[in-house]
Amino acid sequence: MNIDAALNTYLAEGRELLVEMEDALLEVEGLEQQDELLNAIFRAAHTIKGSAGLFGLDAIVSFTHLVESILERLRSAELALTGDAVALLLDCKDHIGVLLDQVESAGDELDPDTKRHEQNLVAALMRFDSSAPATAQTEPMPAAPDETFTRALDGDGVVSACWHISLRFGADSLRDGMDPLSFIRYLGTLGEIKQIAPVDEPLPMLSQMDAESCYLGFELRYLSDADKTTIESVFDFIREQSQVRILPPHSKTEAFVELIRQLPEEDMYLGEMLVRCGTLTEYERQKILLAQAAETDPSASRQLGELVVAEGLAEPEVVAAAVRKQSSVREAKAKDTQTVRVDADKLDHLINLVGELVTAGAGTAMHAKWTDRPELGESVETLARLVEEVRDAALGLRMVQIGATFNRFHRVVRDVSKELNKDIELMITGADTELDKTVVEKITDPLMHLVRNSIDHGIESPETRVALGKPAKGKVHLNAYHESGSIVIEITDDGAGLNRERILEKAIAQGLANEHEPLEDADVFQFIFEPGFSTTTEVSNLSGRGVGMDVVKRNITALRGTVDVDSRTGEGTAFRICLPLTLAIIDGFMIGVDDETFVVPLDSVLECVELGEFHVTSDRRQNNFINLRGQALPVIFLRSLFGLAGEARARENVVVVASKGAKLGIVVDRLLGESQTVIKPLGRLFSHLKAISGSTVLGSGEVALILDVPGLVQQVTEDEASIASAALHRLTTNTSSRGDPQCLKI
Amino acid sequence: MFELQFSQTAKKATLIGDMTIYSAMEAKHQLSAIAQEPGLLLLDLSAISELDSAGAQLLMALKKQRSLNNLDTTFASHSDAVLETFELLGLVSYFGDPVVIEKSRSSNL
Repeated sequence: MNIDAALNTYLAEGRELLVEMEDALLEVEGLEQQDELLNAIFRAAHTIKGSAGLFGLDAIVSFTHLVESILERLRSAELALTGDAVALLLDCKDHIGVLLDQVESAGDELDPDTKRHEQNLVAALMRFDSSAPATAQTEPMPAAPDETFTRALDGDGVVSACWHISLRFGADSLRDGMDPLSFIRYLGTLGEIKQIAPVDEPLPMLSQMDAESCYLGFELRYLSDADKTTIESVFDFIREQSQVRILPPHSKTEAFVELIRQLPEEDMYLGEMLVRCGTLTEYERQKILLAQAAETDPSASRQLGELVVAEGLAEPEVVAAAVRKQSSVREAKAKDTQTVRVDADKLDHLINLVGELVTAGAGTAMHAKWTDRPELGESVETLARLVEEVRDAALGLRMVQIGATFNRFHRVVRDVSKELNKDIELMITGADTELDKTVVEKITDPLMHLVRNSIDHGIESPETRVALGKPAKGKVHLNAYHESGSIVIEITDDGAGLNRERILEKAIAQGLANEHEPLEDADVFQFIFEPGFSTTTEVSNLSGRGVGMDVVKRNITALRGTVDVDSRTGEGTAFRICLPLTLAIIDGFMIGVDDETFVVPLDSVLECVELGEFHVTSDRRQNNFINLRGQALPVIFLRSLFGLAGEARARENVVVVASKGAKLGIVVDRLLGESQTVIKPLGRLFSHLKAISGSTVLGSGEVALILDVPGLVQQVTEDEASIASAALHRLTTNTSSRGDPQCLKI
Repeated sequence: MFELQFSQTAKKATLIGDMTIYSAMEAKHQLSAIAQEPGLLLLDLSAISELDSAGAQLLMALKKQRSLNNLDTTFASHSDAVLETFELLGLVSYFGDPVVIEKSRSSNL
């Protein structure tokens, strides 16, 4: 694996870890059992730092290190996880993301703003670090604040939040009755000995040892609230003849370099001891040994050489450790999600092939029908079923749950409401609704804008809300569900609602509306999607500049979707985004008029009835209705809609379709049954056709048009008869060249 | 008092009594006698009634010397007194022999 590929993997994993970290941070606040999540957060930070060290990304190492030490203290409950702490850690998480981006864009220098931001964060972390509970730390932190600050920037304090104690007992300790056991036992009463590692290097061969001399030494990792003097006093009795070194938590690397130099044992051995008892991480050990090598004077060049060689020897070990860690992370992840990364192009190719397969299958089925051989028919049916399953599975590959996108908004709601001093709860339903991944990606920005809008303009300040008799806590609700072949995403808030009068006023002022024209609420609200339209007098940081809603609308329209607004003054606003699933293949229902075949998405078909039973009535605008079980159902005659030739058959059928809650009957000659339909988009020449959404190739090789059910329903139910008739007129003229399928040949 | 019983056939040495600074000379003497024993040597610690740092470092020295000569040493059947000392001095993981840990002490590790 070359270094670039490895680095890319690191960046990808780093970002994933950051997402996990953010999720955990958002969840952890206010939870009774925080341990598990804190561990997860810590692990994420730790892994990012550790791997960054391997790549020599010092900026990331030093900053993440600081975050990690705070997390360590949170984990050991030395610090409390307050709301402010979560906010701070979220900021830090963002900053790590910025640093990762920096690595990717291969810029070495942080721009001044980022740098200043980092310094602010570091300072905030420091303040938080020193705000430990009042009971702890009767003595101030060993390093003066500004010194700590530099240390953090240099990133050379160690991660461990524990004291480190090195003990080398004097040879006469045992004879004098100073048993090391009793000191360690006593130490255990002042705090917790996290780890103790005996030092056996000075211990001679059994045959050469003086049984009454003491050769023992220990390295301890020790967690205690006691101050240094108290801990030192434990060893008062043996100070004279023994070596006692006590390093406070988060000591500088220099302190360890010094410690290693002072102790009699070999440097490499000591370094390992320190790692073994958990005081130093492997990375820190490396750094210290390097520093040691640099410190050694040139006359002792042999020693320096040894260290460098040893350094080289130690390298594979570090890498091995990192690999071990990474593979364990990967295992955990595999258990979590069991996912495989696949190139999107490959997936698209697969889906194209499945599309061809479906078309070919339909052809085979037709030929089998013509050939009068039952066994062939049977096997073709089996084949068709399998093809259908393959199709569903292949399409399912592209589908993702919208929940991941929704969950991102927890952070947005949290940040924005904090900034505006509002108390807002985000409610999510329908998170398991699936839609195409490309759609998810494209819908995120519009959603973000709408949510921000709801928070900023929709929901009132807590005081106003209480005054209005509403709960102080505002609510934003994200919901998603499938409806007749479309996905609907709703953003609802219980805020002030849109101000109809003000919007209308503004619209008239901007020449968008006519003063005397009566308008429906829904039409008035549509004005907010006009470019440059804003009713807010003050411009806030978040929204209100009049830029955005038009972009939202444009993005949604580009996805062949629609956005509706519903609002009640004082009660709230609901945005409803309706998107096609943009599946390349759908279950279609084939219908025939004259010699032409049309396809209706099966999802939108409610029922089929025979027209003969009903009496068709027309209103004065030439709209036709039938009475279906006591309800007026608007019907359209496909023959006249498309200006098809031929006489109506004696037995016509009505296909009842629905979209957005409205129903429509389509009168056709024949019902041809279900078929799998590969959607081929129409050329740009036909993009203005409202009643047709695409075309497909039938098994026979003929082209069939796919009806745009939502478009048809909307046209027919639109009150403005003129619009409907104009549309009809347009359609008829546009399709006058029908029966000339070449123009649609694909 | 310290006593060492060695069974040549079982390659097993049973250590009995106190292993403290007071009996350290004697213990060292007796342990030295079996330090060169070829193959795997099993030391039964079940009968040690007291173990201090002096005793512990003898065991460390024995194991160290034997492992330098590529000879294996196993400590087994740790008595309570032995376990307590081992745990305090971090010798359980140092020696790496399996020990039976009662629930009441596991917190110390």
